[in-house]
Amino acid sequence: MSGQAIVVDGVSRTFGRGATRVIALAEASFSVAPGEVVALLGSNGAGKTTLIKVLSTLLLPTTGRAELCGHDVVGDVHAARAVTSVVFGGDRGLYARLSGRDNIRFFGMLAGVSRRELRGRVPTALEQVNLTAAADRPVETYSKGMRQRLHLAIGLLSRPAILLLDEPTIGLDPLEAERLRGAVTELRDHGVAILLTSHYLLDVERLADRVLLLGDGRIRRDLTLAEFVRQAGHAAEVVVRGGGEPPALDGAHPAWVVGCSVTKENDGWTVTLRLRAWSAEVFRELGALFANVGVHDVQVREERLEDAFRRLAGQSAR
Amino acid sequence: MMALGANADIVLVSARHQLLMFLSAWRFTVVLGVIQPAVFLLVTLGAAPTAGSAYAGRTSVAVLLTAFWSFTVWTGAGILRRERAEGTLAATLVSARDPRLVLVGKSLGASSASGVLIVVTITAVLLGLRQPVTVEHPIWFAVGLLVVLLSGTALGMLLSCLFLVTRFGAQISSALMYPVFLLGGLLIPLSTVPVPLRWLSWLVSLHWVNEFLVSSTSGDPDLAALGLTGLLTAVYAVAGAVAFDRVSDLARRRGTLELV
Repeated sequence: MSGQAIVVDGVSRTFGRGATRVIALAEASFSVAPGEVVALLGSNGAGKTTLIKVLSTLLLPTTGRAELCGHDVVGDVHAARAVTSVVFGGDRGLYARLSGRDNIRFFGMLAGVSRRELRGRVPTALEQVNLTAAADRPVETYSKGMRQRLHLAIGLLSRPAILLLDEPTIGLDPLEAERLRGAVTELRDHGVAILLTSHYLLDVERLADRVLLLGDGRIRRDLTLAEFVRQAGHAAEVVVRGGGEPPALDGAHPAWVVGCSVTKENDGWTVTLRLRAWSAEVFRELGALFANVGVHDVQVREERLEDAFRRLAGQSAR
Repeated sequence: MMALGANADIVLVSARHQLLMFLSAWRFTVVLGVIQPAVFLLVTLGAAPTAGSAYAGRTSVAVLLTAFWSFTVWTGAGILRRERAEGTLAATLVSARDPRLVLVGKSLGASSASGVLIVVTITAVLLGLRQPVTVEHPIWFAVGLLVVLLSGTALGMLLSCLFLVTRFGAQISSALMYPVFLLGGLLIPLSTVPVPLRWLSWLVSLHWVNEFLVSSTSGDPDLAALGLTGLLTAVYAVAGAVAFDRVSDLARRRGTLELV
């Protein structure tokens, strides 16, 4: 027992044989500690869903070993399921003719929550996802966002040691998404280990402690959130436009500049600087750099996680 | 004790969900559970208008079992396929509790709904025709009906697992239906089935429960037939449970269960 909630050691999964063989996941290794949120990022087909399927015991790994709270997902499957909650999300996966309350009770029972505990927890879980008013309506009358919230309520109900979230905020409006992030943060604070996939990088930015970047079935990077942004190359991009002669930036750049381009136009110039950091000191030095030229316009664009992901995903693909 | 209660809850909620599904697909339910047995009974009783209550009793039992079997094949057998189509199968499989409880509950819901509907239909037709039917041992007859229900539940579980691994469930359903009717002695007397094939009827619980129900309407209840029905039902149930494990293992190896 390593003290880690999730341990993935050299897990691979292939589909098909011979010429049609596809490697969906190759030699994936990582771990997630209790109370840690790890985000899986990658383009479509990168292996995120395959990894979630293996950990949720829906798919057997071809090679390697994965443990959930010390329980092997192949050899000790029932114990592994007992410590894990999986939120699949999407429109399906609920009993459409049953009410939201019946669905949450039913899946709660399947998750091993006792009748007595359900009496207290079901109203709380419904409240957490703002579904109390609609709890007794059949799920077939729910909107996509309401169904997604119900999935989450089901996932939160069993208070597991490990929570696997597949696209948790898909279909939610910004307020609902923020409410969900709050609920996930609360679980993390209670020591739940959380592995999530999302196409919404805002989820990752707000929730994740670490980021695993997948490409072609391999884990290309295993980074803290700050490292992830830093390794993408820069923290901000500054575009300065002016008239007359451009500043002399052809020689050595300051250490905080990681990229520079100068474009001359008929009536002026444009300088684009990619900065390693964006701080008051950098701002002052930037002012000094452009002190002796005529500046018309300055635009600053802070690097977003989405930009970092695109850049790193591109590097991984190459 | 608590686990037992929780398991019973899962079975009951699953059964209730299956009942709600029947209610929402009421046209299908009416065709299989009302029109089919009513027409069978009207035709068979109409063919022998002067027959007595013993004939009517035998015929009613045969119609009950025929309609029940076809209802079970068409509905119970498709339970897991529908779960997969709705995306709830994966959610059920990864749960802490035994996912087979859901299958038991849904099969039980399907059998109960179809059984009650068919019994009510047959009773209504008999009353409408003013056709007297004597049941000499009503308690044993009720026990027989309960065993029919359990047998249908077990068969539904087994077929449901088998139909999950093939795309030809509807075709197999049709192909299975009439051999079982014939081997169960429901459409023709077993004595007309070729001798080399007759042993197959021993494996069909409907054959034994038919013998038992008929014996409890007139004469001494055939308890050996009841015992054999119970034994075969247990065999179907065990086979269903094993088949479920095999099917889910196969799906995990092949990766054929979608997450959503």
